[in-house]
Amino acid sequence: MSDDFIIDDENLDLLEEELDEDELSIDTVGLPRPFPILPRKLSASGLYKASNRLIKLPIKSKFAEQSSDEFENEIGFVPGKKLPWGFLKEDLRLDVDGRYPQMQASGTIRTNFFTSVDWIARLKATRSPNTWIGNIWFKDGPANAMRHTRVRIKVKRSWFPHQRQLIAKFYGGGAPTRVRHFNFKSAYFHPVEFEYDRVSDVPAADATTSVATCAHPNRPATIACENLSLETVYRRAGFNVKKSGGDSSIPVDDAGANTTWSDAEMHDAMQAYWSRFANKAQWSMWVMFARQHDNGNGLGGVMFDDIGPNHRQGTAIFSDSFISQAPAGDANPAAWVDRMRFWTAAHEMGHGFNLAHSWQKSLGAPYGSPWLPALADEPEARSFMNYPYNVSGGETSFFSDFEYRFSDNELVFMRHAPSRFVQMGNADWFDNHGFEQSIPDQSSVFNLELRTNKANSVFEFLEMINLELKLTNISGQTRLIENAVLQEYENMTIVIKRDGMPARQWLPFAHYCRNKNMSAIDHGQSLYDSILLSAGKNGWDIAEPGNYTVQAMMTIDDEIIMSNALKLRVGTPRTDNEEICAQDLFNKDVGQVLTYGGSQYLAKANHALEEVIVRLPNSNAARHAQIALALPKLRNFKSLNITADAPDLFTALENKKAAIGVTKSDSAVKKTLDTLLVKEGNAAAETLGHICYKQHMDTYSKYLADSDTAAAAKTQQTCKKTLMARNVPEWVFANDAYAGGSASAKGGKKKTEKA
Amino acid sequence: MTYPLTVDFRDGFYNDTIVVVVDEVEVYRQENVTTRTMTGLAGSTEILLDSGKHMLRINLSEKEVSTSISIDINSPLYLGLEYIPQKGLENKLQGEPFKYM
Ligand SMILES: [Zn+2]
Repeated sequence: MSDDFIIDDENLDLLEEELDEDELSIDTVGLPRPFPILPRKLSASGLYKASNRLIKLPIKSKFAEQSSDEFENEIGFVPGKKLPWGFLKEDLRLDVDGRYPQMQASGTIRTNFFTSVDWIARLKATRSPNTWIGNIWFKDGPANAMRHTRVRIKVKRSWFPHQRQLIAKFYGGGAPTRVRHFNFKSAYFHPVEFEYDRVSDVPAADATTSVATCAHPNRPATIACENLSLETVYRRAGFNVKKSGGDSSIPVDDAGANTTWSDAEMHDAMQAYWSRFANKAQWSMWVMFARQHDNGNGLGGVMFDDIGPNHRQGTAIFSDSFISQAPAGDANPAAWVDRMRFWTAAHEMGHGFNLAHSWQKSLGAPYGSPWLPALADEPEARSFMNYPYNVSGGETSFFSDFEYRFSDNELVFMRHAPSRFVQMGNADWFDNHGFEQSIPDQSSVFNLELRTNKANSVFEFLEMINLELKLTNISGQTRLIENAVLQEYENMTIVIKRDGMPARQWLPFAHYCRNKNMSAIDHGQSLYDSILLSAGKNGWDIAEPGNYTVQAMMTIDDEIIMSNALKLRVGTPRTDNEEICAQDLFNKDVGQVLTYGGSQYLAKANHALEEVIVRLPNSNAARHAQIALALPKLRNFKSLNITADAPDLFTALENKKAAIGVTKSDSAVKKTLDTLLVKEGNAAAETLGHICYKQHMDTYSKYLADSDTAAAAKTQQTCKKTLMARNVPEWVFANDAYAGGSASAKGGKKKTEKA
Repeated sequence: MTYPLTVDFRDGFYNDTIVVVVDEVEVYRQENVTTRTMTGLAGSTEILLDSGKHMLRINLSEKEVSTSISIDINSPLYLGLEYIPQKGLENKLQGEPFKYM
């Protein structure tokens, strides 16, 4: 985060004088005729998206020679190579009118794959109509990105949303002035959806999602009397709230015999009953109405979800707790209970938006980090995020002055902080230094899915990670596509980001030149492939214990396809042997051996793998190592004799400094492969992934078929049985050559059926 | 006659070892106590005390912080403890349970 918190309001008027009004001219608003009777002033606030329209500056302007293109050079990019498709998406949120205006503008500029810049400016109206100006006080992105320090914004209001427009001019900081044109997209700053699920032992009337604001006599005299819903509270906070539509009932049995809920039980229930559950960041939240937490009557509700890789997706409200017990002598106990239940639901949902309690705003390490370094606590705030009984005068004082809203600072955070801080499932609870995952415009032609076939994608330390890629035609029509498109890395970029570390681009050991065979892929059909993600030409990209995010981007026929952001976790070493093995294993040659299979001339790499087999006999790493060393021995192994001056196999291949030698096959490895792939097939499929396991089993079957077709058939049958037990569809085995599958049944499309 | 004293460890704890001593007798020891920021509660314990006056001492081993509290108990009581850097352990004694959300 930048430290440029420069606020010098006294300079703003002066700056305004310096700007020529013509530089931000917008055509006169085309209001419909006859002019409608205006019920209220047209608001300008909301979300705007940049258009690709270039703004021509007047010739006389001192900024005339500068264009938006120059700005792209100021933004950093992923280390490695520059991405081939420089594209730029830009949002702007204007917050100057409507409910609780904060007089802020904020924006997100995405220049490429993983690079984005977020900025926020505090605005002041100018003497020109519909025009605001302000200093940029917050920036978050690569160092030196976006040097501008000021922004001037002018809007064109219209009764018709598609006619609403905005021009922003960024200047100051010694950077070339940049002018950008935006179109209005929404009166809200972000979307969000809620799902309310109720446990079977909670009466429907106790699952409060709305409140009559004047039902209780202790309230502000000026408050509007209305029936207020949780959705409206969050709409007023700036969110386009929708219901998921999956509100359902949760059996109380899921709480165990005690019928009260632990955080883990609630997390399990969320996975089982939330219609939107996914291990990913999304603007979606699950709200559970339960009877009681294991902690008892004293816990009114909790945002329980700091569990697993995606936090803040689920909250719970407990009806059998103090929030349902009005104080003795209260003037309207039923209204008190309704209000307290409603307040608690809004409070817990606020935690889902990463809002801390009012007295915790400045709380940093070791718990997490405030999103702004100088954020002040608000112990007296009349906010959903304060404890009513903690303020001076207690709960009575709190509600006499409470207007069912969040504090201004909380609204600025929810509306304008980088969305990864706020979005559910993105930055960890209390951690504002997360990692952007949402890419706005997805391809409507292809869907690219990354997966590992491992539950929760949790890997042992040293375990090699095979990443599976699934490319699906979602265009609604048949498309022609290269068969090997998933193996041609010229068109694909895979980026790996360890939490707290810069992103790294995964580079394959070699690029292949393949014949461009095309296949017709029907709507809904997919292509699959698998790569060893752990290591590449850059070395071991995934080695250290920790959380990683992997995302891929590819281009097909000028279509940009973003994959899901796959979260992985690498466990910590549990034994000294693991640490000893790591010293030799994390070596580029070992990565090559694992990628291409064992090489008899990379002795050191082979030795490192043999050491893993000996020292860590029951580990998944040993399983990978044994297979990588054994498979090449099935054939008369053609190996490359590397000349002395070639530093490694890859360089030798590139420089042709290698001679081909032939080594005899080693049939003794059959026993090893029988154990690893056949007897322990399920464990192999688990760590290798289904695609890689199938490939290995096909290779092994082919070897067996030379001398024993019955053994080959049995091996393919085992493969089919193992993978079908893991929910792999039967069509995958249609082309199995030895197991009795019909080779012609799906001729040429074995990789492309629906799965 | 005995009454329960419920001690809540609230804000400010992080991997602390908490020791509670009542009238020179250690009655509670817990390691790795950390506040859950979403509720402001780190942990809780209930101690049964004979009615009358008692002296409590609470130690945080890692922070080398301690505080002594004199209590006169004649009904169930609830003691909230909070660690504030630069101030140390602050306490609040009340007759009703603390509430969390
Ligand atoms: Zn809370």
